[in-house]
Amino acid sequence: MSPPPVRNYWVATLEKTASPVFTALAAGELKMCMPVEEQPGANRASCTHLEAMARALDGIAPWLELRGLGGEEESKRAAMAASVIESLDKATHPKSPDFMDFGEHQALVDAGFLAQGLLRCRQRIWECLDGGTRSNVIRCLKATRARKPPFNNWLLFAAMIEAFLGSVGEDWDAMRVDYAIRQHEQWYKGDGVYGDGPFFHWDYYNSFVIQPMLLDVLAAVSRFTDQWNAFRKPVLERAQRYGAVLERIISPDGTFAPLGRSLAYRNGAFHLLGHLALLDALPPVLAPAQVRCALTAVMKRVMEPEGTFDEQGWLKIGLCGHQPGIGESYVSTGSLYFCLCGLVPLGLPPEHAFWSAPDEDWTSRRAWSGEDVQGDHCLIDYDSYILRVR
Amino acid sequence: MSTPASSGIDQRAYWVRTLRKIVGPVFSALARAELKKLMPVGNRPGQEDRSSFTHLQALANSLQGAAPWLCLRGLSGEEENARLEMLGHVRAAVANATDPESPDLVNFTEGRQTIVDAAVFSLALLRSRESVWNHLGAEVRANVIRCLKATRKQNPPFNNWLLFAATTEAFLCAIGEDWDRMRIDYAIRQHEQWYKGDGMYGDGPFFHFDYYNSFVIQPMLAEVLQTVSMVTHEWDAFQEPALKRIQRYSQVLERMIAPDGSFPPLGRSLAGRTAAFHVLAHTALRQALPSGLSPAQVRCALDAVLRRVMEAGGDIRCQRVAARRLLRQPTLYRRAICLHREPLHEHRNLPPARPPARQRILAGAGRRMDPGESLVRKGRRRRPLSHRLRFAYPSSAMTSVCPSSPRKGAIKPKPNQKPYDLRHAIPLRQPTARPLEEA
Repeated sequence: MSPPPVRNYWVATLEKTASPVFTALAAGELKMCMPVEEQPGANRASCTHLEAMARALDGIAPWLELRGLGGEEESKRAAMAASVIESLDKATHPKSPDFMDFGEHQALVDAGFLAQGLLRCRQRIWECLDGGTRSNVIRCLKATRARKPPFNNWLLFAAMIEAFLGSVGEDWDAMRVDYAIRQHEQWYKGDGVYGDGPFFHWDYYNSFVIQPMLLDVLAAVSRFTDQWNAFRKPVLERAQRYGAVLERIISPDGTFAPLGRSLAYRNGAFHLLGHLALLDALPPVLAPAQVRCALTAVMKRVMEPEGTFDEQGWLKIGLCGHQPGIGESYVSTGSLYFCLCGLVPLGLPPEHAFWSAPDEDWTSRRAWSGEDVQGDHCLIDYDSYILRVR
Repeated sequence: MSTPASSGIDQRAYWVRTLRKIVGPVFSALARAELKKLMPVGNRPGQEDRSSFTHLQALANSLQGAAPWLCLRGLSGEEENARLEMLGHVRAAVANATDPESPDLVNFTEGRQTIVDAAVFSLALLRSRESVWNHLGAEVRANVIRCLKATRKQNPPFNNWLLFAATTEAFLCAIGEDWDRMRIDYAIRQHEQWYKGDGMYGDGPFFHFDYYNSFVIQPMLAEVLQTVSMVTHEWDAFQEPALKRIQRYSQVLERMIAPDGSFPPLGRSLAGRTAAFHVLAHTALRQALPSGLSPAQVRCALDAVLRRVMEAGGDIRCQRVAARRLLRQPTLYRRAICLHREPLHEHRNLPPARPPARQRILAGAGRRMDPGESLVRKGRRRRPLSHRLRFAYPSSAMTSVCPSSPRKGAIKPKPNQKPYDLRHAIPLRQPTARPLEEA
């Protein structure tokens, strides 16, 4: 059975976007080849390469982990997996020209993405690494402990790293996990959304980072400790509600509200929605096919405009084509590879309903074509809700 | 979509037509005391009976939206004739709706919903005070006041409804009646505790993905604060943060409007349609749009939304559905809020229309675009000057709430305060007075 054409489009987008990073890094030439676009004076050259590798890996990991593919897609996957395995060696070997600095401030973020990615492709990448590379990776991840995250979503990066270390049998710091989980519980604002730090923000950080990381940290640690199990149900319910919100934010033509910072992460804004699809945990109101159609529409809007890639195939700063002004001072070429996190549903096999069910319009498209749609219901997941509002 | 500058005139004509089409039937029926006879009342099967509230809702929501236009001076020609005609209907409609002898006496006493509707009616009367309230006879005014006070026997639930009780009291305060300060204090202080960040209040203790910050919370909070500031300094400290937040939320709402004029169908009360943009229209009306949003860009964005919801595609079935909903759901009349006070001469001087932010971003490669920035607490993060909220108001910007004509029972302005100008309620802040970064 040949995979559905829309899946081929996703695979082609993944390959086009990720392969320059891993081809260059596998050859130990990422620092030499990758251009660094950034705000004048931003000085991101020291961290941008780690960002590119970690974010790209985080996004493509579920696909790398997939078994049972055949034909052309499997050969693409196998080739990419080989490059990734080689890349991890080059990125963490102290003698490599592409050796990355895990000791700086920003590295905490990208070590977090790397840890999440490695958990997502544990069997087919992590367990295929040789012993030397594994201990190099672990040493690099532990180097981030020298840094203290600021009091916001960054707490989750530290927690993700420890969850990974615990998962692979290394010594891990339970307090870094505890802090992130309990603090985010206190930052919960209602209706499926957390503050980024103490305050609510109109941006996509609940989808980029907060909720996928919370889900993954809790799932990872639950395999070796039950001390945070009570958080799993509310965290999943909130993620599902926010997934439903994200789906409704996608307009009939695949655009979405350009709100808040880090818009240059393009379809990474829909990381959580893709992650829920990947976990087979979409909320009951969303059919997998409608999510596929919605995410495909977004991908076409953000990945196809002229100027999205340079002549060598590297991403350029922008949301719709090349828009350098949209990049904040912390955004450089490597950061942009976060858009691959919008492609995590490729970790579902082609037979899964996400890929095989016939096309379906997404909510906004139905509503704005005049079709009758169900009302949208807020999430009431808090035990104290009744007391607090009555 | 690069609209030529002159199209503001055409857009305005379309808005006026739309306003008249929506609210005209309500006012003219009520002016003849035939609203209950003529207006169809639809309840969805299985829904509780709303027929006892629907007539006041129709009046209050319609007048709330039409009020700024009804108060506009200096119009001429066809638009002025239409305004005068509607004004005549509205004055008669208010009289008929509150006269105990009238067949169209609306319900102010039965059911908690009357708290909401009385408040919307109060806000409508505040906004149209110069052209409606000030021209009502003493008996009609006494009827209205009695009706509004009748809602005090009810207790609103612990959510945005607190502001309804406060708005009714704010109107009573503005017209010199006895008013309940505690109803106002409760709403203002409770919403301060429900503030979540980045221009958003919770509806009740929790954040909600819906448009209630725009339908109700922020416009009512702004009107209440401004109205009571005319008689007391007690809540002045709340004005500046409330203004910053409403400006930030205006920015957010503008960014929610898709290139095709659609917006995310999020949360409850979506049938309020364009009312989802009440806050954006409100800040435009008050000439308090945040820096970075030009009035023309907001006009074009709201116009796109208005056409999207009014024209409902080319599908006949859709139009029928839309028409049916329009007829049966009086709350839809609130959409008329979009029509604000913009004198025609301003349109002639408008800058060339600028596409909304979202379209500029999506317009393609090579354009520089400022990232959307969160409203962060003072000094917590470096903020480019262009993103700072500014507080400069043109004179006469915030004038429609209280008229200057002194009459019996009218409130007295505070000493040392030029009345009706928000600049005196909100200290102007010089952008250079604050260091860029404190930390």
